[in-house]
Amino acid sequence: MKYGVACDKISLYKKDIITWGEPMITEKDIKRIAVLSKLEVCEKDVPLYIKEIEDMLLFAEGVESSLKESKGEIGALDYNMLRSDEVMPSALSGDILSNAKNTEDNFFLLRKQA
Amino acid sequence: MGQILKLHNMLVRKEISAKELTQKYLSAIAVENSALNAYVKVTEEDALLAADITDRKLSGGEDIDALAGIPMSLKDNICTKGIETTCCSKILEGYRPIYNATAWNRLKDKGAVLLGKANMDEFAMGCSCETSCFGGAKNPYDTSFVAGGSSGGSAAGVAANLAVYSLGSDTGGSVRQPSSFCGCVGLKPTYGAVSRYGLVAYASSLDTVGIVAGSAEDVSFVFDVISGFDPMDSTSKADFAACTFDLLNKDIKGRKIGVPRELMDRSDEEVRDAVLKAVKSFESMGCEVELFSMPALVTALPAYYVIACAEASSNLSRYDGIRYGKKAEQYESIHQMICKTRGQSFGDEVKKRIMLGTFVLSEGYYDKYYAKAQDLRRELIAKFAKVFARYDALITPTSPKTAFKNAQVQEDRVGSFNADLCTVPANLAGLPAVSIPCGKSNKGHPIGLQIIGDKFRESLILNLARKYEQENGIMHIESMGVRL
Repeated sequence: MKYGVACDKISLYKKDIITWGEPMITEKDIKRIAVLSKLEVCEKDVPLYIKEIEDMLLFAEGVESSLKESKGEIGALDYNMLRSDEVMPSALSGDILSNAKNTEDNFFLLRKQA
Repeated sequence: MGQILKLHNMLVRKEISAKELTQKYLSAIAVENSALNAYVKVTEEDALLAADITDRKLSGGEDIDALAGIPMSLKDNICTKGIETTCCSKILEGYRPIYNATAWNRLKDKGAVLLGKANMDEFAMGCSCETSCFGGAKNPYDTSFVAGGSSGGSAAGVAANLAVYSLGSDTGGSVRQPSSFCGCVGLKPTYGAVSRYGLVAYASSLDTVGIVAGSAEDVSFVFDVISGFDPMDSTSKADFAACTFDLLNKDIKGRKIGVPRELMDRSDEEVRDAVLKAVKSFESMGCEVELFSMPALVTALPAYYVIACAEASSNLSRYDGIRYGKKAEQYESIHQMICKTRGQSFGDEVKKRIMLGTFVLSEGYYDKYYAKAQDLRRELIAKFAKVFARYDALITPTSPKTAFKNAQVQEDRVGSFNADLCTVPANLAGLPAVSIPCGKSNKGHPIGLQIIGDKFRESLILNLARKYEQENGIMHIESMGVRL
């Protein structure tokens, strides 16, 4: 095999593609995503998240390339295995509860809310 | 001969007992793990008990399986009944699963000896093992460099002879890349070949249970045991029965191999040179090798990050502190308790990927990112189908670079995504791929080459890997751990 023929550059490397412009996302966006993600985010960490998530989004801009139309989701499988609808032994409730911090009888326990 | 068969023969000939063998490994771990951080938990008592079962069988004159009494490790995201499984995250501190992962159960049934749980990037999110809440695993070839990730502990442990083999997980290269950095053989099986039951989910459409070992032969032994249908995983293939070991030594003359130009061009020169040298070796064994172009391999990378983060944001929503793991102490509402638990216990990399995943799935951005990433995945799968009509296998570098220096990834997290350039296409298309050592850099760090096959062609890629090893030798470290 001979090697040495350069291929057409496909610009996906950070140094190749990124044009640093105005921030794509704001502090408000980060706080909104944090709420949707059920994550408490410290005020002092917000600027860091803005920068790093913005970097990741700029990287993800690569998905824009060569796409004409969307055809929905796809996975790596071209088959689907379904179990027969039979009752199988299940775990014991004591085992299931064994990793919880607070339990009572056969239930997970949470503090009562007003 | 691989280590498994060699040790098996020693056990059968009673040159060493399984207990003595296990004790040797435990002693080596006690001495060397502090420098490498390959293990986050050592299961000494269970290991000696398992070894004892093999010894009793042998003294009773019973036949034992090739894997019986052989010491190994499991990545810390593979569920082990009663043994803490944390995914190297604070949020799963103290979590003891109530069931075994299928892959581990199958090995356990054969008499495998579990030495402990291997270090990893938190929830397998990273490429250097440094997002682990226990600190990263170090590279046995040079401890100022990382072992790679996310299965860094698995690879470091095997390379340093602190385990004969290890199970890891590979979502975008997490078995192959650390195997490449540490001079090991790492297999990512076809999606559906090995059950994912009991593997803690990161990105379910991409996750696979993989194997790290010292040779293609050892990987083959383990793969043949852990693969096959499992009713507990709806994505496991019903009619697949692996017999890679029987085909390991098949003649490879006339095999057609493609080398994608795009991945070679984007790799460091010394990596490219090592892979090209290996390609010549395949040519000398009678393979027909051709350079070809497949641009879709490069566009796969951002698509992978979009899909993986989107799936992670959904999978990791289960961690709320109520049923298992860590829980915030001070809170005023259940919603606040969940947010605090997650905010305080997930590491920064995990939080960023969850937020990115949530963002690309949110209204207004779904079509821009997620839907288009799915389209790229579809395009890639179609391209692979055409490529495998022409070639039996593809050869690429495993990673465009050799191991990074410790803490280098933190300086440029997004830049480090490029480390996954060569490995993510196989995950997106569900293809099997194996990384084997093919040389060393000027600094003496291992370089890996990747062989990708068509779906369920593990026997072919391991056959090629084995033939390469026979021709070029196996890379290993003599001076560390247990080498019998």
